[in-house]
Amino acid sequence: MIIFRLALKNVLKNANRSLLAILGMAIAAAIMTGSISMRTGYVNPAFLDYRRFMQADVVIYPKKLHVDPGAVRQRATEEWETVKYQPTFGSDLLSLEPRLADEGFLAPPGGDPDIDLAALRQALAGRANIAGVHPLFTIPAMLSAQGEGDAVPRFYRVPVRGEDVLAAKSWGGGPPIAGGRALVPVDEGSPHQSPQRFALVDARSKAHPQIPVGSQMKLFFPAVRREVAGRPVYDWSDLRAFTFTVVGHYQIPTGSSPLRTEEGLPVVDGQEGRSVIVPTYWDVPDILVPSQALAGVYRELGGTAQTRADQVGISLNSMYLAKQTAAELQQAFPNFGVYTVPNLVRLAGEGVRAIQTDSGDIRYERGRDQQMVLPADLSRTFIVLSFAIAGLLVATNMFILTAQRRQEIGILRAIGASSREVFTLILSEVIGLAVIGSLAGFLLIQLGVTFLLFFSKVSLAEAGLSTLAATAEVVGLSVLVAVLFGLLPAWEAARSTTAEVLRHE
Amino acid sequence: MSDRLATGRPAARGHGESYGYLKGKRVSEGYQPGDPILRGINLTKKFLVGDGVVAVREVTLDVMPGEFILVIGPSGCGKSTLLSLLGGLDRPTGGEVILEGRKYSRLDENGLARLRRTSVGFVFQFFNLLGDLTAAENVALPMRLIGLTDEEIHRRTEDLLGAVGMLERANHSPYELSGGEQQRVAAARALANQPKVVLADEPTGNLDRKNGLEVIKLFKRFNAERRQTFVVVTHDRTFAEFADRVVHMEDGRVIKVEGGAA
Ligand SMILES: Nc1ncnc2c1ncn2[C@@H]1O[C@H](COP(=O)(O)OP(=O)(O)OP(=O)(O)O)[C@@H](O)[C@H]1O
Ligand SMILES: [Mg+2]
Repeated sequence: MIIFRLALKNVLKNANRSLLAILGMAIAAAIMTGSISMRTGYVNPAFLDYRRFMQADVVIYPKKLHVDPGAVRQRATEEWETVKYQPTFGSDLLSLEPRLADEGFLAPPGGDPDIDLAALRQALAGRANIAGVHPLFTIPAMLSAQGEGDAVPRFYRVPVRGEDVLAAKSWGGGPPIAGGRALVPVDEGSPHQSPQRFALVDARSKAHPQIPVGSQMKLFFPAVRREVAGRPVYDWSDLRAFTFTVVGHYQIPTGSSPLRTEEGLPVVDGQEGRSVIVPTYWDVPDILVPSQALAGVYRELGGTAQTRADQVGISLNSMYLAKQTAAELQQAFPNFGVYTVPNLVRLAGEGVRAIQTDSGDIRYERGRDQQMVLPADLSRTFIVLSFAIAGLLVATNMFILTAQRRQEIGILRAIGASSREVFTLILSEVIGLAVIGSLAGFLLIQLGVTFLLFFSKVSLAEAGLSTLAATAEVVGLSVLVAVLFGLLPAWEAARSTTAEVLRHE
Repeated sequence: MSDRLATGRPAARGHGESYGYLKGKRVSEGYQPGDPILRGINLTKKFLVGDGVVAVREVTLDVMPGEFILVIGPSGCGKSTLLSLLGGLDRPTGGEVILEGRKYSRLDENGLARLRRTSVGFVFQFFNLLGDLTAAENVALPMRLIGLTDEEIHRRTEDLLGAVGMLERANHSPYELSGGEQQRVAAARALANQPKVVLADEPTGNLDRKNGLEVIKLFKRFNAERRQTFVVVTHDRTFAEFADRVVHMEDGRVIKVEGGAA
């Protein structure tokens, strides 16, 4: 008991030393918190736009559609079949990995090309951390438009996507927005459920021309002949025309990239010689219409109600557990591809290069030879590294803490404190400082994130932090490291020959 | 647990509080009151630096209960080393130390720590008070280690600080005290658990003549009143008048013992 009192006294009386130790722990914990959020949350603000677009933190794709070509290559040894990507699949995969279109992807034999929503909902029921299920319905269509270099209007094949897009202030201005996403004026934060035929067109799609805002866009949908097990059989010889008003353009940033010339040289800012960094965007060829409007179209085409989704988004209660939840879902649905949105975006965004054409426009390109697996590995390395740095910080802290205390330990030993008591003294001090410090560091980052989130209208769950589990992990890890590294000097101090310590002032 | 033996003990002999552990289980076979209380037998301490330094060479020293011994010798002759061997702060490379029949070689580190907390008091040249604690807390610390009650600790702390004339400075930090005052507090701390033996390593070395004399007189008073045994290392030959015996050391050896019957 006296030992704990003495430890407390030590901490309080040596405010400077204690503060320093706490500061060290706090920085370490902050680094850990940061890297945990890197690992699980939406660190890149651009990722949040995906989240809003997909209305999900975790996305389930039908079949084992691999975004990661490395995994595809690895799977090639197994008896999976190669499937060519078909526009009727309607998922976001093609935009994420264009190679799927020409190289195809691997799928388990007999797997479903789409997801039975009712069955999935049932399988998901009662699972932890799942806040909502958002199916994506698309209908393949032909867009009649006159693109650049088209002498006359021609048909472009596009997926039309039902999307209850949220109005987001950060996109600026009141809807309809060019360059934004809101379809019509809606109550802030509530999904748009308009049955009206409004549409948003990707501002940068390479798959079809951009349709000016305010113009009437003609989309031709195939009639639904019949439905087999909830799956439509389209009749492309019987196209029906629907007119949509283009109310805006959308574009989804993926990050940024240094601008390069066609020759691959960096474009530099004339005066200061700094290389120019430009935002990069995700090319989604889809045309977005309100989901209620799309459901109306489907009914008019001769269908009943779509029960097979092209992909399913799942929103989570806690982003912190996203990785774990995704892993669990992948295990539960081995025939589906399960991705967390941050991971998906990382895969999609990395390797996008911005190229300045001779006419001065900016063109985006996915690097063909880019190793997509590498960045993910690097980020893992970074996390491990930052943890190591944090651990080192704690370790040095503890070494200094005990080194400074040799004299005192010697005195305690001389007046008869057992090595166990000295050990307890140092360790309780170490643990106390570690707990206080790591909590402080964690809370600081949390508060900072919360503050930022408050202004960016992102929920805490989206930030991938803030849960009890995160606190426990950071504080627990810090204390563990502190104890591990404090153990040795404490043990040494407890055992050290007292005579030597006491001979000098 | 055996520390508890040292607490709340009934008066057995002498005056006032006594050294009850004599009646406890810890007392080794063969020890009779009247035998040397502290024995250093053939003590050798070799430090493994360079070619090896022999700080203490085959020193044999018997300390009788209630004796006041002065150890004198030139710098580097091994006085401090001998004292730390006698107090169990350090292990000898050869020989044995026996305190009231207890062989140090049979005790592990914690056993030695227990022994120090109940039977040995240390006073150092540089006082070695804990700067984080007040004078009273420093004195109380050894008593807390053996788990005395708060009232008991309070009573004894007052008694001890009174005895060393530091009662009115009880709540001062060591930094606020002069060297002489610090050493008096350190003496009170060394005496807190009423050790049989007090080992003092140049307790006057950092004090002026007047304060040094005061500390030695304080020791002498405790020696006389409380029958505590003192082994005091010093440079100052003038303190010889207080001692029952003066042990002269040179080059790690005891070269001469003055006074006493032994
Ligand atoms: N821990 C140690 N490591 C190596 N050598 C040591 C150690 N402690 C003491 N010595 C050596 O042992 C010898 C005796 O040292 P000790 O401190 O016992 O002398 P002393 O008589 O107390 O001297 P002083 O009067 O200066 O305090 C010295 O030569 C010293 O250098
Ligand atoms: Mg010395």
